[in-house]
Amino acid sequence: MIELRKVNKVYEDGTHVLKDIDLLFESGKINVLIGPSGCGKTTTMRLLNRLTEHTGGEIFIDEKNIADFNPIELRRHMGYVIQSIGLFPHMTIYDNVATVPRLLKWDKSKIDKRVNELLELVNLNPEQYKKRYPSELSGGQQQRIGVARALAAEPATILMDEPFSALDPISRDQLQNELVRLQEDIQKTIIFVTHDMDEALKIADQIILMKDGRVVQKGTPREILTNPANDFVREFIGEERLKTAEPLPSLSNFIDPTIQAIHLSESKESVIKKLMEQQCFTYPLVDETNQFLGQLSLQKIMNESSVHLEDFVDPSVQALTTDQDIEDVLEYLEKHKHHSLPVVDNENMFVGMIDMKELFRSVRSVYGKRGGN
Amino acid sequence: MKKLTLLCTSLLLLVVLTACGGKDKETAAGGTFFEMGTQDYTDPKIIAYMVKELVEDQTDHEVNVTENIQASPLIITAMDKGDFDLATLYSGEVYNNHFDDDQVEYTTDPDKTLEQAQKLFDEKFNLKWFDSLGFENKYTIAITEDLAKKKNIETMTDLGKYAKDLTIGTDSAWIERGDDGYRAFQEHYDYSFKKANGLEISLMYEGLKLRELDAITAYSVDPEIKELNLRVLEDDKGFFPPSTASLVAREDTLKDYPELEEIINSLTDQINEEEMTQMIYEVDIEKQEPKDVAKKFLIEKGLLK
Amino acid sequence: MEFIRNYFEFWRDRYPSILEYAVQHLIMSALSLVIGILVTIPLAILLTRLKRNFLKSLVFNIANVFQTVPTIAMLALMIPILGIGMKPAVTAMFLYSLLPLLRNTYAGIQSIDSGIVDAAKGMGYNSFQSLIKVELPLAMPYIMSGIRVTSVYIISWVTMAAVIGAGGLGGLIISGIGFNDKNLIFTGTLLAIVLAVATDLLFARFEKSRNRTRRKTI
Repeated sequence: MIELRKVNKVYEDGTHVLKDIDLLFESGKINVLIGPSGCGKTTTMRLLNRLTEHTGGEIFIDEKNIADFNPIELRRHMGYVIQSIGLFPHMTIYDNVATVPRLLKWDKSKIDKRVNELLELVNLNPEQYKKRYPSELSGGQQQRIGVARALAAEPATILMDEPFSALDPISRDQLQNELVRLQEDIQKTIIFVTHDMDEALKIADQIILMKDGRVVQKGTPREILTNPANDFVREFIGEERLKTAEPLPSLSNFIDPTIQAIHLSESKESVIKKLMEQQCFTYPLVDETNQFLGQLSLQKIMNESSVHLEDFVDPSVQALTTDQDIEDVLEYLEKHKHHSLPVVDNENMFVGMIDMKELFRSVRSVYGKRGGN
Repeated sequence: MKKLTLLCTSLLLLVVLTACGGKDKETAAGGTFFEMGTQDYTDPKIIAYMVKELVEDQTDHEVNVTENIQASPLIITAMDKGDFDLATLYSGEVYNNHFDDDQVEYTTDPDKTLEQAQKLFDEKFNLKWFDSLGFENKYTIAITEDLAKKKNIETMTDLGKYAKDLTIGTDSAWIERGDDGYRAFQEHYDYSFKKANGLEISLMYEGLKLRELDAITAYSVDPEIKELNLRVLEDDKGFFPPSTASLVAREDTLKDYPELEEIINSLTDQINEEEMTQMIYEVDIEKQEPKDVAKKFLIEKGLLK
Repeated sequence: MEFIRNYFEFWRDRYPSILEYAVQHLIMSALSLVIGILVTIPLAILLTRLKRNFLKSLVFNIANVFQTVPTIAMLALMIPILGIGMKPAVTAMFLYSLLPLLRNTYAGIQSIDSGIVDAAKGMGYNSFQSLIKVELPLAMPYIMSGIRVTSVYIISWVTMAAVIGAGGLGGLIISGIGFNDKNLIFTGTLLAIVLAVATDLLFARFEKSRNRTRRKTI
């Protein structure tokens, strides 16, 4: 975990480029710093491996102040990938990837093994590419090597400074996907600088939006999209993306309030009759104060001899609450394949039922407008 | 030092002159321009201005003087091509590879040397080599008076006893010359110096002053000999060739302008070595203009009013 | 034919002294080049590390001034300080070599993509490692071409050194002019050209072989 507390950077000429930056980069997450040029995003990143020194505040890596580290050592234990790729053109791919392990004085066989491993990790055949020079590789391949090189000494943190911005759109897209996939395996703390909002939305766990040396907003992509902090954020994200990010209709839109729950006081026979009439296998059960008790299962009613309606509740079915995020609902539905679910309010009062088919149809129409995502 | 910087420019000038060539211009008085080249040392320059003064005083013609031609063979080449009409040359020039070995006989006799020069240059280059101006400016070896006194050196033979520890400074050409160069010298006197260091003539005296050189090949009229209190060693085995100064002119020019010949003849035997040394002293050490020195001399001699 | 036979005879008689002139020439050229390299490369590196433009332009202007002093004047100016002979000649040549060597080394290091240097630093190379492992190898083509060009210049300039008693092939040429021996002029000129061309070819080969080992550059 990396923490920035009230970090400031003032250059010798008096330019105040970072103002009271407070940030938290959680371990194993992709943190994207984004903003217009000159906003301080790259500077913020470069403070972490002390390529730029901050002039105020404190930076901690796993609770340790980075000012206490030797900057050279610090850098050797932090991956670094940059926009112009920065591969050494006079060194082979092998030598490039082996750079940091060599600086750390690993022995030869360990380096050999690690280089092979890394090239495979970034989908380049080691035997084929090891002895080549960077100029003999495509831009996308070069940037893969850039990533492999950054990973070489197994750093916990990787700094990536607009690593994909110079690539063609197809390679960029491919590498973004690969980064996300790779991250599932390697679980590094990644600090990723970009000016491309699509890229940020695609890969980020946390987006930090900066302007004029300040953090304007930080949060998950969804938070930023659905709840832009101000006009600047809105403008930076762009109307197009905001439109597509319109919040899905709230769950309450899909509730069918006409369905009356069964009261605990009703008789077993009347319940069976009611279910048969409505061709339902399950039905919500409430007590006299309309408190939701659970979902009655027709199967249980038929098979069990008890006369107490509580005994026929199916414990595997949980009620939704009205304020639940529709995306979570969809996820839940996908897992459990229910046709309909009961909805309760915050006091566990029964509100109504949601029909799954109806919900899917409605959501699909919203996503359809976005042209796929 | 000024001479040094002019080395390049003189070569350049030669090229320019060759390019321009011709005598198609007239003087204001309707006469012609004579071109006169001089070497990069001072005596030919003074002579050139004497000729200029006399020609311009007595005729409608004028003389253009081109100074600082790096080496006398270059002047002869330029005269042969018609770029120079006049020059001051020394009889030893006859030994400078202009002629085949069987044509020229090496001798240290001044008269015979001058005779050969007069004959051979006329035959081959169609140049009129006039009689002596009255002085010689020959190669000689000079050492500091200190060294001379300490070791009691008076002749070149005396110098031989110490030569293996001494460095001699000389113009580069002397090292490579044939009959009158360092090779022949070593045979003639049967000794060698520790080192023979070829360099620009004017730098030889610097070298002596800086004590990087022990001996130099000086020219007999150099005023520095007196100025630096040097001792000129006696050429006791008669090695160095004579070097009588004469005016030289293109026969073609003389044919067209016979009045020039009279003027040149008027300078014959007019300047002795002492006078020349004094004039060089005035130019090199006292920094007077060669032109003024020349004029003053002519007036003193009654050749110019 | 006659001429060729004469020329062979000339060589037969003179080759020890001709070789001596050539060796002097080579020693002076090599010495000034080596001193030039030893001084300019660290100096150029230092300049690339300097933030103050004032100092940079000062150094370059000084080198530039040396460059513009005519050879003959430069040699003459050395004499009161260093006397005559090889010392002032080598010093003068060294001063001449400053600008081309300095400029090429500086440009070579400046030409390196700043991203590469940044990457080197970001990966934990210290300043010296970055210089040795990354910057100098990448600047090498520039540095080498600077050395190559300068060496050819120097070989040509050194002919002037003969006027201040330093010897070298200029001695042959000046002697030749002095007493009208075309063989001497021709030989001195020819050898100076041969030395220059041979040096140029040697460096060209060296550059080529370097390029082959690292194949393409950026």
